[in-house]
Amino acid sequence: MKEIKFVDVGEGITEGHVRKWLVKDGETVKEDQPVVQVETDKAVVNVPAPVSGLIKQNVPENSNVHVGDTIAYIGEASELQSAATKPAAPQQQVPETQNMSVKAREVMATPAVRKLARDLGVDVSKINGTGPEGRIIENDIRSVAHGEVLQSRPIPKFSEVLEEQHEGEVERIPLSQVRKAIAKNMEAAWTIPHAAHMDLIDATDLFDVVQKEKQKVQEEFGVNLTFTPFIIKAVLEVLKENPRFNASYDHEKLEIIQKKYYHIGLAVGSPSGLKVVVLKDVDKKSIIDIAKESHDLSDKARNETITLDEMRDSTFTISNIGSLKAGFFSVPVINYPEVAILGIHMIRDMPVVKDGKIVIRKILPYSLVFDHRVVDGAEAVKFGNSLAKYLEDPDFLEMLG
Amino acid sequence: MVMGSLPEQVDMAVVGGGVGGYFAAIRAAQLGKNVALVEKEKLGGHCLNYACIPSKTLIKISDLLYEVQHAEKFGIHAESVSLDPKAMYDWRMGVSKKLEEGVAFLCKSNGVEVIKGTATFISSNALQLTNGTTLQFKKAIIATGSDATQLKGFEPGSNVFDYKQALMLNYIPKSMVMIGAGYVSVEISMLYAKLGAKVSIIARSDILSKFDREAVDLIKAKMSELGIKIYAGVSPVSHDSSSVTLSSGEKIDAEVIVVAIGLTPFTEGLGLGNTEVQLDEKGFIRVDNTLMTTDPNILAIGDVVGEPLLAHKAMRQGLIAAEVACGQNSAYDNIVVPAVIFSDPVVALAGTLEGEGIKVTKFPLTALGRAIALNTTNGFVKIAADENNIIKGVEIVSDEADSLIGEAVVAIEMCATLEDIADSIHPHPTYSEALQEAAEAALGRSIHYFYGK
Repeated sequence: MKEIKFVDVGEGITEGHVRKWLVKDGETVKEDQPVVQVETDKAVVNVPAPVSGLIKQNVPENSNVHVGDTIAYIGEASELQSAATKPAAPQQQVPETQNMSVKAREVMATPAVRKLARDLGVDVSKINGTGPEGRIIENDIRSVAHGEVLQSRPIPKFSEVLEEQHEGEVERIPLSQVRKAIAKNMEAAWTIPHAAHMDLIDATDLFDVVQKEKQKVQEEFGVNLTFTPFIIKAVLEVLKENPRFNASYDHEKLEIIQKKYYHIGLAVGSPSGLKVVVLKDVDKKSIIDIAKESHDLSDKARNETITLDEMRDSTFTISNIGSLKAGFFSVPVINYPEVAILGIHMIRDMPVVKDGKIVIRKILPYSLVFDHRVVDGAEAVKFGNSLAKYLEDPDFLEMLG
Repeated sequence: MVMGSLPEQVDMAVVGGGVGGYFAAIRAAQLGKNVALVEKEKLGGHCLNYACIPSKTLIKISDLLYEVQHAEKFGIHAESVSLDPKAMYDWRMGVSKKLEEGVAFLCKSNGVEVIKGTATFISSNALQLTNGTTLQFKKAIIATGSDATQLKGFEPGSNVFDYKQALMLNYIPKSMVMIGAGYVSVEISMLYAKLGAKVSIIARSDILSKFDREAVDLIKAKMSELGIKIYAGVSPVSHDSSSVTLSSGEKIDAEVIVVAIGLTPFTEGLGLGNTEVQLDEKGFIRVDNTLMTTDPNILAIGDVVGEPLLAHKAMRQGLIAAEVACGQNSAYDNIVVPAVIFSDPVVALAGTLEGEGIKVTKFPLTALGRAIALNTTNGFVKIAADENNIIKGVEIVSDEADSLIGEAVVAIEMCATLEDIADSIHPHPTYSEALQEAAEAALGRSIHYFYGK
């Protein structure tokens, strides 16, 4: 008999949510057959059977599991009968005043901190404080209560920042794992001093190329050609010229980590929330490859079948809200810890002055949001101008086409 | 006393109006609860009326008289100083009355309904009161405290008193025999000795047997100076109207005999059998660290739940129990309960002076300017800290030790280090410097006392 455990999938994931059993309790499964769907901060993971055998479920659907928890047992029928079914996976710590016996004598915390710990349901006897001589300080309690190991910036309690009156009916909805992860990433990104550069690109030639090639590509490769692969290729060239944008910032060592590879993240909306799928090594891929891959990855994200591997290590991210038929200028939040994000908006017909005449052109508005610790406005303008240069250059576009 | 219309249904019933009970009642009222406080006798209980406050009142009077009579070295000759015991008695009773009225006013101001009478649980939701009312409650807090333990053959009578009666004399007896050798006995003995009584103490082993011997020796030296005789290792066998006979056969003069052999938790007549409340083997009510009894509707605090039987512990527990009963996440998790003996010299203790890895350092008052000036060098400060210099215990034997110990309590609760105390500026010239000096000494850098190289 073997245990199927919720294993450490990396990325600091410690908790998952059992979404769906893919096999029935007592069903016989083959090795590698997916048996259960577990949602983590980052993705929905299908957990495969390590060996062939009979499945004995150990946790119900819609329950939370932690790394190391046994999700199911697998083995022969006789083995499974003797296996003592453990109670459902440990749930979140529930503050139980009555049973929370605090051995104050061994606890290095002031009376006020001990009181805060009780209020937030944190067992002070289990915390290693970060204060002098290991004292437990207020911040430690708040960090633990937020499920974090350490948090340098305490987030004020909801009740402290907002006193809502609730004149009508309200509903309190707990965050899903994905929503929690998004919230956490966005909070982390908030430490970045964001600055934005916005401008317009004449995308008439780009539009024409896509229109011209669309049908051919569809027939020949079975891929729906969009503007995105061209933008990715243009961005790639701009990144090569402006390597500071293909980087991340180490605020502890005060160093810029400049990357010599080009993994482009694409922000994709999925039913469970925003995800960034990653096209790896775009410098080694053709426009058709990129078109196909971005399509596949986006589909996977929308179907919730995307894997963790397909969502990590991006070096620069593009958020294309143009496909949502929206936007003129937006300020996307940088995908922490990257240095910049490019927001792409809807291409629309606009009157512009060209050679002294008003003409109608296809105009693409974009926003380049950057970490002002790493790059300055002038570099951002240079980035934008360079991007326009490529996307407005019929030769460059033809070459790709 | 507030005697409005008797409520039949309340959020919270508090049984016992001593210091623990009225703290609980007022805190629950502050938290918006409808509270009834049942007290059979006097608000403020033993503390305000019979024990803490009266004894401190009388000790101050006795010290004043004694010091004036022994001030020749300061150039004061007070041959004609005399004591009017009746006036002393009036002052002492007046203090209790004033405080009791104060508590009644506070209860009224906070909307606490005070009901005079005794209360018996008839279920886990209701109390039967002696005035005929059935008081239904959602939560009840038992704060009935304790009473003086009686000694067989020495039951209160014409010349046998308990500590309460001993603190209500309107005369100074010529001779007084104290049976018992705890802090109550020591305090009463010393105060009456200073007022002129010839006092004898009968101790099973020694006085204050659980306390630091170095402190006790200073007290015993002072007792000897005051003419107090300690009969140790004997027990009282019988008594008549003017003497006590010991197991050794010896007879001691005793115009007044005071029995102070301890306190017994008071649960008699409470009807706890009609609830889920359980007692432990010593008769204390069992509670957890949130002061919940084994009955989910009933909490208990103070002397009735166990050691230490001290007013300030009851006060803290009263507040916690009220908060817990009102749904807050409070718990009785204090690290230290300070203890003070109002002897001469005063002894105050917070935390522990013993334990693994704990080092104790003593600073004598003979090296303290203020003590030298006031001729009060009969004492010391001991400070105990662990390997990380975190303060674990403080003992102060000094004038004003009772107030000074507060600093030590905060230090221990805050996990302060020796450096925290040593590096904080203490006012000069005061006794508080002794604690600072003790901390400096523990760090090997005392200024006023040379410990050797």
